[in-house]
Parts: sequence; structure tokens; C-alpha cells
Amino acid sequence: MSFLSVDQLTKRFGSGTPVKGISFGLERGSCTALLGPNGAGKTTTMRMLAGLIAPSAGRITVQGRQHSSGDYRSLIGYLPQHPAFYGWMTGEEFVLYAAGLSGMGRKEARERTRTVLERVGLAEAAKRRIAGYSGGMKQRLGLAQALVHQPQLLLLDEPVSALDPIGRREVMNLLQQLRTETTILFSTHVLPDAEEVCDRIMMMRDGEIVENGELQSLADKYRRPLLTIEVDRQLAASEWLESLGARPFVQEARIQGSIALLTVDHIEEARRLILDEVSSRQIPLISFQAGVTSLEEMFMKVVTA
Amino acid sequence: MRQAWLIYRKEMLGMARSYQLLWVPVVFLLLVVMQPVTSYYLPEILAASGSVPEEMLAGFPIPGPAEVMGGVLGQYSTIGVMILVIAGMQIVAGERYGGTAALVLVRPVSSASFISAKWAGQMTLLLLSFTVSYAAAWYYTVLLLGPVPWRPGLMAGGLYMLWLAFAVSLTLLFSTLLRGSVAAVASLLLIGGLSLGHSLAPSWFAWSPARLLPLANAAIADALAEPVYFPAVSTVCLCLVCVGMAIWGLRRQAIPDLRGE
Amino acid sequence: MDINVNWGLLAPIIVLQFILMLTALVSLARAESVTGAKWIWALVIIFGNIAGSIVYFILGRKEN
Repeated sequence: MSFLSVDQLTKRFGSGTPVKGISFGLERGSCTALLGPNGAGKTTTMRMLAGLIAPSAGRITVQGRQHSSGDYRSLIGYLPQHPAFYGWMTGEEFVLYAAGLSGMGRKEARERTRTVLERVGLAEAAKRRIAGYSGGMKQRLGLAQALVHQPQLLLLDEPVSALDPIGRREVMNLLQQLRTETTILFSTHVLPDAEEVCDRIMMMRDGEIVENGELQSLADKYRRPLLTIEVDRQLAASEWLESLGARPFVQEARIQGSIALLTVDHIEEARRLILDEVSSRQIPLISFQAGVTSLEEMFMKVVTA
Repeated sequence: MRQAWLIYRKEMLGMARSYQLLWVPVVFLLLVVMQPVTSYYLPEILAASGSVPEEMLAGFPIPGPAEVMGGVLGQYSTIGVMILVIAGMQIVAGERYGGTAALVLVRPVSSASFISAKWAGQMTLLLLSFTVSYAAAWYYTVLLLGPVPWRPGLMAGGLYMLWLAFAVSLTLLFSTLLRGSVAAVASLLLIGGLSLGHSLAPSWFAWSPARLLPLANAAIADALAEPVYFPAVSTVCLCLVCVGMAIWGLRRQAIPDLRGE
Repeated sequence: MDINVNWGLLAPIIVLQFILMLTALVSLARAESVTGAKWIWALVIIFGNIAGSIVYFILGRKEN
């Protein structure tokens, strides 16, 4: 049975329905990325799972128990998209406070606070006021407070979106370590982030889950032979490039200036036919590459479809 | 229970670090102590300024202690209420709209412990500010203008503190339901409205907390003609109703995510 | 022009006013950011008497 299962979860606000009856399950120990463009309903979903807003309809069960009972709250660690802290507290005080609120005893809380602050690299800054922390430090403090009570499920809402490349790298490395220790659901609108950390991907668009599965099986499912052709910038060549889209062996064509991206059925046939034409028509070819479509293209296709 | 205690301690630490625990009591004290001091020195100040004729000054009465204590109480009902309301307007709204509530309420913390800890923190600030300043004003009145009897003094002080407790509870409720500055305006309007209503139609508002003010003024002048139980008990009940509604309001309200989707 | 003033009685009040002003200034100096310029607030606190400090504590401080 799934550690967490969601059934027909719906959220309606006044005029809109940001989440439209989604269902999914999370296995214990899995790491899942909730992927989708801004406004797809990711944050609303996360906030319902965290118990901060009530669903309009649908059910969330944690370990077979009803979510609404409230006792699940000690099982989850939540990092909101924009974590906010009391600027007058020190990092250490805040994590201690969070540990206490989660019901940990004083001694245990103290030890765990030291451990997690060291882990996120804030041991040095632990006794400084949070008001003086940088954005990356705040995000890592947010991670520390989400981890301090050793939750069984980590909900991370866009944990790296607001960070600069260095801060992003630090947090991504931490997530790499954490994925072996607990169940993670982490939302992002950037596919490479999802690929880097997670083994499963759920894609959301307009409040619905449009794709859900193992990263590898999704990659297989969406893998297609892809030809990338670049020609010199001249009229005849460009016209020929444009005309390629209409060939029977081309499934899909994207022409960008002097570069064509062609998704094809049979790579050998397509390669032979195109190269024949190149030589017979004396097309000024610059490059010709045969490869496969990436997940990124699949992502673009799914979210813009 | 343990959570409530933790939140209360965090509230007190926050108030200390923001110097609120110092400046609110000191401001209260300075405001009310000025009453006996200026009353006492007023004739001399006027004489020194030379703008008042000598013969008028001779007949200038120095007010009695009861009168001055009445003035002290007046300070609480105006500037005192305003400071308490403004100091408390962000108490819940600040956490809800600032984003810290999301990190607190995602943990196993009931809205009852959250609200009651907040309320206890504000009450501590009120108790401290009122007791210290009232004692100082009383002390200066006795030194400069003459004795203030115990029973009326304590009675009047108690009734005013009850009125201020009502203002604090009301602010807590509005701060849970509204944004900070709106909460302050709503609280001040309602409190002002109650006072005004009472002065226009006393019999209609005999049950209300606003009744406490004239009763306290009568008490300090030793002219209390009716029992205070009815408005006192109803004020205590209203305070509890405010806290209860704030708990209910926090529970059914979503935690806003202003910067998210 | 001389007023017979009991300084022993007034001293605590003056000391408290001074403490209030000092607290406001310390808070101002330690604040990461305030609404408006710091030096304006310093003038308000020093020359604004009790009211200046109150106004600073209410309007000048930014939470978080």
C-alpha cells in the first residue's frame, strides 16, 4: 500500500479550480517530482498535502489513515515556496522552536537541531539573527526546520527556484543525500532539477496530472528518433528546409531559421532520403545529427499541448 | 499545552527583542505620571510664564487627588487603548500574511494553543504596562496632591484594566480575521463606537464594556451608586468570546500564500 | 522665573524619558531596515520627545 494516497483531490477558490480532482500515490522511500509550469496547481496541491488549506473535495490518506484527523502532521516536514522566519530569532532558536512544536523533548530537540544545522551548513551561522541571512541561507534553514523532527514525508515546494546558481547547487546536493533517507515530494517548474534528484515524475497542467511515472519509463515512452539539420543561410536551402516538414516520413517538424528539428518514424530511411536530397540538390549542409528526443521536448509537448 | 507554552515563550522573547516589553510600559508610565505632575506644577508654570494675572492665579485651584486620578484613567481610555491596539494589530495577521504561520501551523499545533498563547502574551504586556504605570501615577498623586483611598483606587484600576483587556481581545480577533492595519482600524472603530453609543444612550449600553468607564470614574470619586458585576462579567465573557471566535476563525481560514500562485 | 521644583521627584521621570529615547535609538541602530532613512528617524526620536519615540516604534520598524 502507498505511504500517501490522494483520491480525486480538488480545490476550488471563488472563480477558479486550481486543482481538478487529481489522484496519485507515493511509495515509501520514493522521490517524486511534481513538475509543471507556473500556475499548474502545484503549490495548491502541496499546501493541501501539508494541511494548510482544506480540500474542496477528495481524500488524502497517510498510511491508510484519514488526513483530516491531524495526527499525520508529525509525519511530514514542509518547506514552503517562500519560507518566512522571525528575523529577530537566531537560526538555532528557530529550529529549536520548530522541534519543540513538533513535540520533541528538550534534550532531543537540542541534539537534532545541532545535527540538522550542521547538515545544511549553517552550524557557523546558527547563533546569528535570521534577519541577516542571505536567500540561500534562509532556504537551507527552511530545509533544516523541515528535517528536524525526522519526518517520514518531505514536502518541498519549489526549493531551488528562488536561488542563485551556487545556492541552487548547495540545496540540490542536500536533496541528493536526503532522497535515500525519506520519502520526498518536491515541486518544480524546471525539468533538469526533477531529473537530477527524482526517480519519478508527475506532470501537472491546468490543475490536472497529465503524466505520472518512473523517469526512465517516461523517457522511453516519449523517445523518438530526432534529426537535427542545419544549413547555410540562403534562400534555396531555407525553402528546402521548410519543405521537409511535408515529407511522409516526418512526424513532426520544428523549423527555426536555418535549423530543422525533425521527429521521424524510421531513422535509417529518413537519414538516407534526406542525405540523398542534400547531395542531388547541392544543399549547403552545415551539420546533420541523428539522435533521440529528450525529456525536455516531451515536457514542452505535454505542458503546451 | 506544551505547544502553547512554547509559543507564549516565543511571543515574550519577540516582544523583548523588539523592545516592546520596554517601550509600551515606559510610554504608559510617562503618559499617566504627567497628570499629577502637571496638575501640581501648573499654577507655578503659569505664574512663571507671566501671561496670567496675579489675582487669577491666587484663586487657581490645585485639583484634588481623586480628580487627578480621573485624569490618569482618561489617558488609558484614549492613548492607552490606541497604543495597545496598534501594538497588537499584527499579532496574528503578521504571522498569517508574513508566512511564518505556515511553518508553525503545519506542525501538530492546535489553533487553540496558537491563539491562547498569543492572547496570553498580549495580556502579559497589558498587565505589566498597566500595573507599573498605574502604581506610579498613584504614587505621584499621593506625594504631590494627597491620599487616594485604597478601595476606590483599586476598584477603578481594575475596571479600566478590564476595559483594556477587552480592547486587546478584540484586536486579537480582528487580527485573526483581517490584515494588520485593517484590524487596528476595525478595533478602534468598534471600541470608539461602543463608547459613543454608551454616552448617547447609556441605558441601551448598560451591559456593555463601555459601561465600565463611567463606573470607574464614579468609583475613583467615591460616588459609585450601582454594582459593577453586570458589565464586569459581561466584559469577561466578551473577552472569552473574542478568543473563542479567533480560534474558530484561524481554524476555518486558510493560510494565505500571497507570493505563490 | 524660578519655579520651586522638587528635582528628587522629577528625576525618575526624566531618566525614564531618556531610557525611552535611548531604547529607540539602539533599536534604530540595530535594525536591518527601516521605513525611510535612518537619520530622519534619529532626528524624530531625539527631538520628538515621547511622541517621537512612539511614532518610531509603531511606524519605523519593519517586521522580519
